[in-house]
Amino acid sequence: MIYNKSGTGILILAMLLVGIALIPAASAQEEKDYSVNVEKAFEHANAHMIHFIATNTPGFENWTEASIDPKPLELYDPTGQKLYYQFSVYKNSSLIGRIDIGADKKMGHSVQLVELDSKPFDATEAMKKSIEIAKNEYPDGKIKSTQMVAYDYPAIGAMTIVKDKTTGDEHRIFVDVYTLEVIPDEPATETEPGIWSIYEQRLKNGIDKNLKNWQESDNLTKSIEQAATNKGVNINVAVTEDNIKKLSGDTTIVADTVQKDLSVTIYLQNTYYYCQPATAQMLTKYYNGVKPSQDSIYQMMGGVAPNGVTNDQALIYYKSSSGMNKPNSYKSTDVTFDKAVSEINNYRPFKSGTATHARVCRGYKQTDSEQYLRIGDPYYTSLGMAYWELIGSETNRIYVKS
Amino acid sequence: MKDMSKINKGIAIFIVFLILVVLLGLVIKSQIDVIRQAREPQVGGLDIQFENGTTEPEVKAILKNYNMTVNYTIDYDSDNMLKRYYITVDQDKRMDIINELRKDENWPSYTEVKKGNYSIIMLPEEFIPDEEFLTMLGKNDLQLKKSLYCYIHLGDGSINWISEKSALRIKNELVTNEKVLTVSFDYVE
Repeated sequence: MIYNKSGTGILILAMLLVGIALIPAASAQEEKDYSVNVEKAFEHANAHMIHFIATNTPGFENWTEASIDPKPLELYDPTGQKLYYQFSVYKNSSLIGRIDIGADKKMGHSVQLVELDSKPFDATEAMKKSIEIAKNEYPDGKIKSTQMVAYDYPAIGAMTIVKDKTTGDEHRIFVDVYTLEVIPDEPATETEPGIWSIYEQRLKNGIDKNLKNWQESDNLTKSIEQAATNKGVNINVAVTEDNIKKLSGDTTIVADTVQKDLSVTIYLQNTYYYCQPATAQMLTKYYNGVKPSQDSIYQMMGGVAPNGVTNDQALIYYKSSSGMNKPNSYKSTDVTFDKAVSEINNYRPFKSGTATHARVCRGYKQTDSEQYLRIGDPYYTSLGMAYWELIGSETNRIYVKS
Repeated sequence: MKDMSKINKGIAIFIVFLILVVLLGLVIKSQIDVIRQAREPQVGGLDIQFENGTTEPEVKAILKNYNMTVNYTIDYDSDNMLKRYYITVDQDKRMDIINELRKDENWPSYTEVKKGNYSIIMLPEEFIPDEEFLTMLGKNDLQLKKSLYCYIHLGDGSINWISEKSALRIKNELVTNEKVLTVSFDYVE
C-alpha cells in the first residue's frame, strides 16, 4: 500500500511536470496559428499591387507591367518575432519598389508598407559585416543567429546575436543595410539611432481588431483574384496595360476607394538627429514656399548637437513668426485615420511621429477597412520618395495651424 | 523487491530529466524576456491633462508626491496641446448615459478614464458641442468641462530625457491622482 501511495504521488508529480513542460510548447503552437506563410504573403502582395495600380494610387503611375519576385527577404523584429516578407518589385529588370507583407496576422492588414522607387541594398553584405564585427568584438563568443531586422522602423539592417561563453551574456550587433554602419545596441536616445519594437507598437492597436483586419485583407485579396480570373487576367505575372485597364473598370476592384495626396517635396535629413528639422523644412516649403536651412531650424528649436528634439521644442519653430509662423500649431496623440483625412482634405500636411522618428504625412488612401498614409520620410538613406504606410505605426503628430 | 527498486530508480531518473527540461525552458524564457526589455525609446517630457480648475500650486504639489527621478520644469496651462472637453459620470450610471448619448447621430468617439466610483468621458480634441449635445447633457444632469493642459519638461540641462520604462512607471502613478485625466509622452526624435 505504501508503495502504491508513493507510486501515485510520483505519477501525479510527473504529470504536473510534463504539464509545465508542455505549456511553452502549447504557447508556441498558439503563436504559430497566426503566422502567414510565404505563398499566402505572395498572393496578398500581387493582389494588392494590382489594386494600388488599378485604383490610380499616387506613386504607382509607372508600375504597370511590373512583377514581384516571389522570393522575399524575411525581416524580423529585434525581439526575434518575424515581422515582414519584403517582396521586391521589378520592371524591365530594375527595382522599382518593395512591398512589406506582415508575417503575423496579429499585426493587422497584410500590406504594412509599400516603398516606391526603392534604393537597392545588399542584405548579404550587411549580414556578413555584422558577423565579422561579432567575431572581432567577442572572439570567444558563439554566434547564435544572424537575421535581417527592422531595428528602428522603418530602418532595416542585419542583427547578429553572439553569446559570450565566459559570462553567458548575449550581445546583438546591428549593421544598417544601406550605410553598413554599426548601430549601437542601446535604447533609442537623443544622440543615437535606437532600437525599438514596431511589432509591439502594432499590437497596441488591439490583437482582436488586427486579426479581423487581416481577415479583411484576405477577403480583398480573394475578391481581386476572382475578379481577375473572371476577366482572364493572371495577376501572378506582370500585368499589361491593357489588362490593367480591364481591371480598372471592374467595380469589385475599384469600388469604395478614396484617396488624396498633397504635393509636399521631400527633403532628406542632413544628419541622423535632424529628422525634426528636416520635417519642419518640408512643411515650411509647402506652407510658406521657402526653404530655410536645417541648421537654422534646429537652432531655433533649441537643439543642442548631437541631440534630437521633442515635439515641444519643435513647436517653438512651428509657432514663431521668424520660423514657420503657424502660431496655432499643436502636438497631439490623436493619430487616427479620420483626423489625417480631415487635415489632408483641408490641404494641411502634418508632422507624423513614431517613438523615435519625425516624418511628414502628405496623403491618405482607404479601401474598405484598409487605411494607408502617404509618408514623406527624411531618413537620409531613403531615396526621398514618399511611401504608403498602413495606419497604426505612429505615436504622435504635430498639426499645423495658422 | 529488486524490480521495484529498478522501477523507482527509473521514475527518479525520469523526474530529474523533466526537472532539467523545465529549468531549461525557464532559462530560455528569461533570456528572451531580457532581450525583449532591452530596447526602448526616450521620453523628453510629459503631456498631462488635469481636471478643470487645477491651480499651479496644486499641479506642483501633485508632481512633488511622485518620484520623478529627474529634475523637471512645469509649463503650466500650455497651449502646445489642445485642452479636452470631458464629462464626469458615476460608475453605476455610465452605461445608461453612454447609451443615451450614443442615440445622437453626431455623438463623437470618446475615451473613458475610470476613476474609482466614477468615469471620465474624454471627448475628441477638436470637438465642438452643438445645442443638441448640450441639451442631452442637461437632461442627464451632466456638466461639460474643459481640461487644463500642462507640459512637464524632464531634465536639468545635462540629461534631458528618461527611459520609456521610467516614464510608464511615472504615468501609472500619476493617473491614480483624481485631478490627473491623461498622461502622454513627448518623445525625443
